[in-house]
Amino acid sequence: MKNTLLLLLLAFSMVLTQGCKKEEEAEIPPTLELKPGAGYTSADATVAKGATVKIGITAKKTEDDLKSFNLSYAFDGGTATTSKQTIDIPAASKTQYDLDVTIVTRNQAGSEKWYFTITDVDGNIVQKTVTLTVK
Amino acid sequence: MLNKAFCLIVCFLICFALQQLPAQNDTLKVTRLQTFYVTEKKPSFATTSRNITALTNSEMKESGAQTLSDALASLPGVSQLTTGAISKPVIRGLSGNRIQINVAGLRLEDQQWEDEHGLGLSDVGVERVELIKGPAALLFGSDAIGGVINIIEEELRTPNVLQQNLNLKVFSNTYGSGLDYGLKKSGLKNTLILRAGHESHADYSDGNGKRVPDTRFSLSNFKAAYIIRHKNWVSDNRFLSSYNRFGFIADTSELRKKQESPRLSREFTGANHSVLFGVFSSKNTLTLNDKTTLTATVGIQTNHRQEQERSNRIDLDLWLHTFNLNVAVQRELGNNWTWTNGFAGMLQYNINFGSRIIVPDANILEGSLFSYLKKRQNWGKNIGNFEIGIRVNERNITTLQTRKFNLPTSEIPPFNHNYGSFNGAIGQSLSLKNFTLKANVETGFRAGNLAELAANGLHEGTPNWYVGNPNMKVEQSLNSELSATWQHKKLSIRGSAFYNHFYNYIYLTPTNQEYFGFRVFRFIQNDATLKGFELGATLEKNGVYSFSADYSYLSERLDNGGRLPFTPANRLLLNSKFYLPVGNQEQHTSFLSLGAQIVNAQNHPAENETATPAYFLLQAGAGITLRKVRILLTGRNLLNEVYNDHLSRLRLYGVRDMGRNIVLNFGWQF
Repeated sequence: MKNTLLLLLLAFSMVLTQGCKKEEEAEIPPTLELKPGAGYTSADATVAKGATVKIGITAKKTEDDLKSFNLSYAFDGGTATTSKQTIDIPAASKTQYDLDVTIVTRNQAGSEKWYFTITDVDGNIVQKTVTLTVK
Repeated sequence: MLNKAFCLIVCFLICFALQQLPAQNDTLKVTRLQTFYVTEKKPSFATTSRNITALTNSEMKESGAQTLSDALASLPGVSQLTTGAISKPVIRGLSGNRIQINVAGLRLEDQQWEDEHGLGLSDVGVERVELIKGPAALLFGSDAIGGVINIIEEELRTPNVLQQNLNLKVFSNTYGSGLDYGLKKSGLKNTLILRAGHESHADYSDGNGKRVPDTRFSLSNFKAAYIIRHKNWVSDNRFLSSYNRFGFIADTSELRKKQESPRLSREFTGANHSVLFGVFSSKNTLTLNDKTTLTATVGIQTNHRQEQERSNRIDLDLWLHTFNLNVAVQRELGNNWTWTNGFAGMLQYNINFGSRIIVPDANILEGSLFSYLKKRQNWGKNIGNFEIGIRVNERNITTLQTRKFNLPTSEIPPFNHNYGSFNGAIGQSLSLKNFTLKANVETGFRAGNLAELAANGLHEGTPNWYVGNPNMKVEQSLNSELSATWQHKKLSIRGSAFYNHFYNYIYLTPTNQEYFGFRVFRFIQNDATLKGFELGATLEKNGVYSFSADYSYLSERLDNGGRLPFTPANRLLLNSKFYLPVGNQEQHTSFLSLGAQIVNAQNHPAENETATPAYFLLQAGAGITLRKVRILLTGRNLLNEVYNDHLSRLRLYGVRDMGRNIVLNFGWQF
């Protein structure tokens, strides 16, 4: 009977030890790319006051369906962002979502940092930013 | 705090006055439910001031319950919070970390902070369950704020015996079946118990016969016990393990798609949860001298929870390790006073391995000291018991940076906080000729759990983003309870009324904020009160018939006027049992039973909840024991009622509760 107990203890210890050695799995958020090409701005840029800038995004699901797109901004080096628009991604675009955003810069010099954020239904978040320096 | 102190002082004075009466010895009344097939202990708990009831293994089987929570929900004042097959017990409206569940003498730690993290235990290898309603922090410590469930594992008390038994159960609704085998062998000074079992269920169907996909589940158990009995030392060593899998509805669109998959499928191809649980405990009782005993329980438990929800791989992967040490010294002081002093300690590690993080990695250390006095009293034929005690508790929670979940720049960075608490209890029981009266005032407490303190992420299965608050105060409750039982010949009438006031009750509330398209909910605190009563009567002629009726009433309010979510509806339970003569009545027994649950509408939903209508469930059963064989047949929801209990989380998806279920239990003792 003592042997039985020792075996049970050994088995239990192995279960615990096994747990401690387990590898962590990495998060896999959706992918988000800024569209390159003519007519699109896909990197930080310097623009005129009141300029119209077109930025395109392409988001693709990895494991989970896409849920929402959010556009936010922070002006003049500020850290707090202001949400401008949140879109619930329609069912037909849960796998891939394309959107062109048109931004009109302020009529004053300064910096405008624009945040493009995609979330999936599992709460994974991916974000890209474009900083427009307005002169 | 002033109210609390005042109540304690008043009760102390009343009980102190009663101490002046002469005292004699008293014993705990234990009813032995003896048949040739099985002998079960069912304590009546007349000698404690707390409200305690017990449910034996036979009663659980006779109820036709699928899980332990389901069986407990047959008791007045107890219900279950369900997510399909996943269920957890609710005592007087409180569940999760507000209920302490003890297994093999250790506090069960199974990530109980989440509504959909079920208890996952069955009646396999369980001798009985003892249930305390109301806080019991003095004896059990943290989390025993709404009640305590003590799961008592099977025993073999007769020396030099070999017993084996086989139990088979079949469920019509879920096409489920289960089998377990147990072996018990005792010598003069030691006992070995082994038990293994497995059960598997397909999805259930509601009262319309509509199948609810991903409500399938399976439970596997292995238990071993080795008990050593010497004159001055009893060592009860237990190893319990289980591996459970539960289907899970993560997305309502899945409900439509999966209607077409095979009806009997038991595969977990979609969203599912799995839990590997193991515990080793060693409870040692040493008789130091004729007046002093020392009890030390040491144990280790592990809980590995994996949840796969929307993707094809495991999202949530949490491993919780817990070490416990409980020591108590009980000493007879003379003049019928007993003094118990003790220490309880817990060390816990929570580790994330999955891609989804809901709560961070954390280390939790808890220690408490308690002192408890009990005096047995006797005034002629009348018996009384007076109890009083205090407990101090300290908990330290250290959260660790867990990948990007709680970066130092985030809203909830890693933290290290201490949560202290001071608790007390005072109570008196009186057993007169045919009347028992109990009065008890007791406090309970708990620190916020990891979700309430440190959550900052998407809640599983919802589009809601939960945010905790590490600066929460300790949640504390003060419960006053009065209960009485009156017995006259075949009739007994019982009732208990309680008033449980919470300071800093922790709850979740929606906000106007959004986080990238997710609605933000925050855990906040407010004072709250739960009050109610249970009233019942039984007409019983032993071994011939019994009729009982029990009504449970609960009312809850936040002090700001709000309502608490998942509050059970008021309920009337009716039960009757008729014993039939079958041959040799010493070896054979048989019965027929008929019961009903009449559940009121819940018209006081919390914010974001909807009301639920009333419903009626009819249940019937029959059982026969023929020397070494026992057959039980139970029909649940016989009228195939289409309904939703207010505590069913799936009702948010328009999913109904289980329809008719015929349950067969077959037991063979050899």
